[in-house]
Amino acid sequence: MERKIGLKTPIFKTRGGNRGKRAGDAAAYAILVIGSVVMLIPLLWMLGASLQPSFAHLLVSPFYPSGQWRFANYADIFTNAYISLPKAFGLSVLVAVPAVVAGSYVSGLTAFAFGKLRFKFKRTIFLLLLGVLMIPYPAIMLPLYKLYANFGWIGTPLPLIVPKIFGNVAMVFFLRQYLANVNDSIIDSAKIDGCGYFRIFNSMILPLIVPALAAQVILWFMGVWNDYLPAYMYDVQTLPIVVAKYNSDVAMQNEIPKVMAASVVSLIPVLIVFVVFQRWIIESVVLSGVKE
Amino acid sequence: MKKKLLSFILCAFLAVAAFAFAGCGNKNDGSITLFVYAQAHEEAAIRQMAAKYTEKTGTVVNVNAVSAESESYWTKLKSYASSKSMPDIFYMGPGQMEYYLNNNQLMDIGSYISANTEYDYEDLYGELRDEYVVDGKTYGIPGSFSVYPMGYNRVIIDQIIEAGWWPSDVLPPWEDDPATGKQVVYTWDQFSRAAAACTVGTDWYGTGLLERWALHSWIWTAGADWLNADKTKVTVTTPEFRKGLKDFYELHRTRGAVQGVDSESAMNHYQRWLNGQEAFFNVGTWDVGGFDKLNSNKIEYGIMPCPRSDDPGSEWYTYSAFLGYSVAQTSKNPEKAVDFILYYTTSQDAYDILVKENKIILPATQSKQQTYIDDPDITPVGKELFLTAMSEGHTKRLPTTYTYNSEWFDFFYANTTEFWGGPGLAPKYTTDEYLDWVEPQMQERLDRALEQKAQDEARRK
Amino acid sequence: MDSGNGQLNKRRRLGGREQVSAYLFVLPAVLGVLIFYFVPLLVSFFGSFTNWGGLEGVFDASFVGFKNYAGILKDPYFGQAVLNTLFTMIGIPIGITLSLLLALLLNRGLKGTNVFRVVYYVPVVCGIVAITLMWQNFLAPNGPFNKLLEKMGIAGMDWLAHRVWAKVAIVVMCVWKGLGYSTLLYIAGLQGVPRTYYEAAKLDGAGGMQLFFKITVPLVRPVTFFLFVTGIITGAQLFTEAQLILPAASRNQNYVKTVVLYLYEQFGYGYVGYASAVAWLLAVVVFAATGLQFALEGRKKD
Repeated sequence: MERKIGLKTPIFKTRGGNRGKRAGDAAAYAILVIGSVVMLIPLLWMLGASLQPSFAHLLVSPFYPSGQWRFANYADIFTNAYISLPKAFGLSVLVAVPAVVAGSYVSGLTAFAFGKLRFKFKRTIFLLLLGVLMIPYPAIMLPLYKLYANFGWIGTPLPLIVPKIFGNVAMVFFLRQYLANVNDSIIDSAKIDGCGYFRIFNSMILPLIVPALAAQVILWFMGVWNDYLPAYMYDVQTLPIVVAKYNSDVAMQNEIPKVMAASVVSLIPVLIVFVVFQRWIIESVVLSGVKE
Repeated sequence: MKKKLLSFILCAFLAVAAFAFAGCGNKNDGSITLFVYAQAHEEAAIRQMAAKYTEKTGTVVNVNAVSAESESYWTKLKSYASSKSMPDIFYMGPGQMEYYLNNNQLMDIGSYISANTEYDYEDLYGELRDEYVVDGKTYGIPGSFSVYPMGYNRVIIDQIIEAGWWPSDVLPPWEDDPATGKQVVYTWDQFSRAAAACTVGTDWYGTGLLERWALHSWIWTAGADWLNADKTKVTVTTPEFRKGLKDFYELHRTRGAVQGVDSESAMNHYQRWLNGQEAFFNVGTWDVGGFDKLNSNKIEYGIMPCPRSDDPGSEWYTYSAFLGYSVAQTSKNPEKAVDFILYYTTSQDAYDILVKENKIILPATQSKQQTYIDDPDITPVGKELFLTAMSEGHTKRLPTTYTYNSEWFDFFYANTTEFWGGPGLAPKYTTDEYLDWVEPQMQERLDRALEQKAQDEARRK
Repeated sequence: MDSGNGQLNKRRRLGGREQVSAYLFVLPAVLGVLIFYFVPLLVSFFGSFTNWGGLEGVFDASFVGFKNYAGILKDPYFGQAVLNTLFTMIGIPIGITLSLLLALLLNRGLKGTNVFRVVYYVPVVCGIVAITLMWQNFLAPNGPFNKLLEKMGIAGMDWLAHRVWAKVAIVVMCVWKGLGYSTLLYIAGLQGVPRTYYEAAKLDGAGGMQLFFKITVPLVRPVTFFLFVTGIITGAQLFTEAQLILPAASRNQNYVKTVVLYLYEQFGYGYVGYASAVAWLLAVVVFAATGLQFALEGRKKD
């Protein structure tokens, strides 16, 4: 799994030997640097804007905080009555962590069954699961709304938690592929020792797939953390919902720096996760993206 | 055999799932549940009332408040209705009532009201009470109402007068009109000229109104309305309506009362009003709490009537909205629920806690009207207009109050750039042409709502 | 399908315990897809032929045949929503082109490539809500973008109030946000191209341009195709960006209204049956795109 996209082997050698290559490299650097600036400017601007003392300052000096940087904007949004940020933050964590971890475990179990066990209708059931990947969310959200309403779940985090616990098909698909590389002999020997399949999974398979599983958990976490439509639909006050609402509530009251601060806060967890795990993330994106 | 077992499990499961989509049930324990939406400070006041009531009667009132704004409240209420787990008491507006009525969610509480001797239901404003009476049955009790008159910023106007720029034939908005002995009501012409006088450089602006909420005043005072009497036909092409819209348009475009189009987006008018840069802007009753905190060197605001049309004898109008409390059809304790609502709306505690101490609502009872007006602690200047606007017949309901949904009405506002124009966008129509174009489309959408309503009513029977 | 099961495969009879365990292990996933995907999909299909209002159960609503579908196709708002949605899809080829070029640059083995890769990927992981709100304020009439133009001597404008520029803003934002992802896939794709291909071609005297169009482009075609199809699938479901890009007080939302926004609006008005029909029209497009993907992938494997 490692080194799938190693970077040591340039496939594009420029024509004219060393001098041409050096000129080409310089041009490439220039373009890449300009590109990086374009990529980062809006984000840096958001950070700068979040530290502006007021909207008026933002008008005068739009790019960086003029005069005093106001870190208190961040304190304000955590105590502000318009936006119950701590509550939303907690809710987002609740939706994005335990549910995702539980769902990933279940997905691992399912993938184990599909990858290593034999049972009737395996292929049919697997195709049934795969079919889910085709279904666009808007096509099912209205009946789901009705379903959750019937359960009394609208406005609670349950619509974002419960479905995840049943596992994630894309993850099952990916882990099953990964399990193909795991030798069956260890399972057989465990069976000879009289282990049940559940124990085999927990004690042998799980440790083996942990790297793959962890990367998938991280990707899923980032997706869920940023999710908007389901939360909006079922009225769950997660961070993205609360921040968006805050923007429309106070946009008319000169509070753009605070809206930007709230936006920054909503990005911090994913950015931290990304920076810490960027290698894993980038590799598993590639693996689960194109080469399924 | 395993095959059979598997298919059996699947079938059983599908049956359960199908049932879940079709509908389910409910339970009881002597307490009553109140479901509202409120900001943090409002919620605190509501809880205070609930606690006081429990202290008095022993009945436990569970307050369930949506902390966000109303949209999420209605979403949640709909989901409660959908799952047949309605709270005992909940906010209900006349606009939403029909929908819940057709879906059998509201209880006729007339008998409980007449049986209640503790509180005076008749003390509530009659026209508000009537909104909840359908075919002689009472489906709710009015609680709080809000109106949307005009406001002025005295800081600007005083300086304009001092500078000698104020039109000499126009009284300042806080003066009484000698002819009527009441606060002056501007005509469109006077209002435009006053606003134009207050437009100075890029510091001060006359006015600039939020069309979605302010246009009603212009339409109604011109003698027009959005719908015909039985609320089945869109009537936006009448000469009166054309006149109202045209004048509203001209106020913003040709009378010098509003800075150019470009300035509109640079910083919107509401923002300028808050900054003390705008002379006239609508003030809703719900704004008062927030406006009190503004910089008083720049803004010292008071309430005034909306302008009336230039026709002699025209009346001024604005809209009023209100919320009341309904009891669920499924409530197990309707008697207690009604008693609590009456306590919450008509008692002395209600005035003390909700109106005076926390200023979250206007008094809904006639007997408290004068008390409120005379109380020097309650802002703003001219606040009696909030009450008299309604009692003297200057308010109307929003047109969507009378229809099943607001699609037809939203359509009107979703397309107004067709005559306003916009950046890189020349106006396509004059206001007259716009009305000709928009009316059939609005009608189509209204017909659709009427059809849905008819179907729901048919199902109910 | 069952390859890689090695020794387990050799046993003729299915072990009872193994089978039971396997069913237990796949049961949650199966239940999950049925409850949360297939049943809702069927319900919305059924609902799309009724006047379902949402409060009543779907089976209590009356059947209206194809009325909802006819109504949708007749509604100019829907047509506009489709056009708006298609407009935002012009970001797909733009993003594909840019990311392929970027990938080529990042594939030269330059020092610091890793850093660039991370930098370009940052917008991908950022939440769409925060990004859209940032973009909204970035493009505000008095915002930094106009200030920047001003310094370059170009007159700015209220971009988001303009019926075309507002859509362009969405396109730019989506390209900006998605660039890192597609670049990453292209890098992986490029690495799969054997160097001998290029060497052989160069021996035949092919120039850089020729190498690019004759070898690189065809060989990364699977990636291009994947990005194109997934672009259409996600593009057809565009919602958040369009819903949040305009400032709250905006006069006219019509010019960024997408199909899903239209769907949501109809749901809000209480026309759930009608909205279900919109959902199914959308689903058909997505099914078609996915089907196309499977078909072409299948063909390639043969």
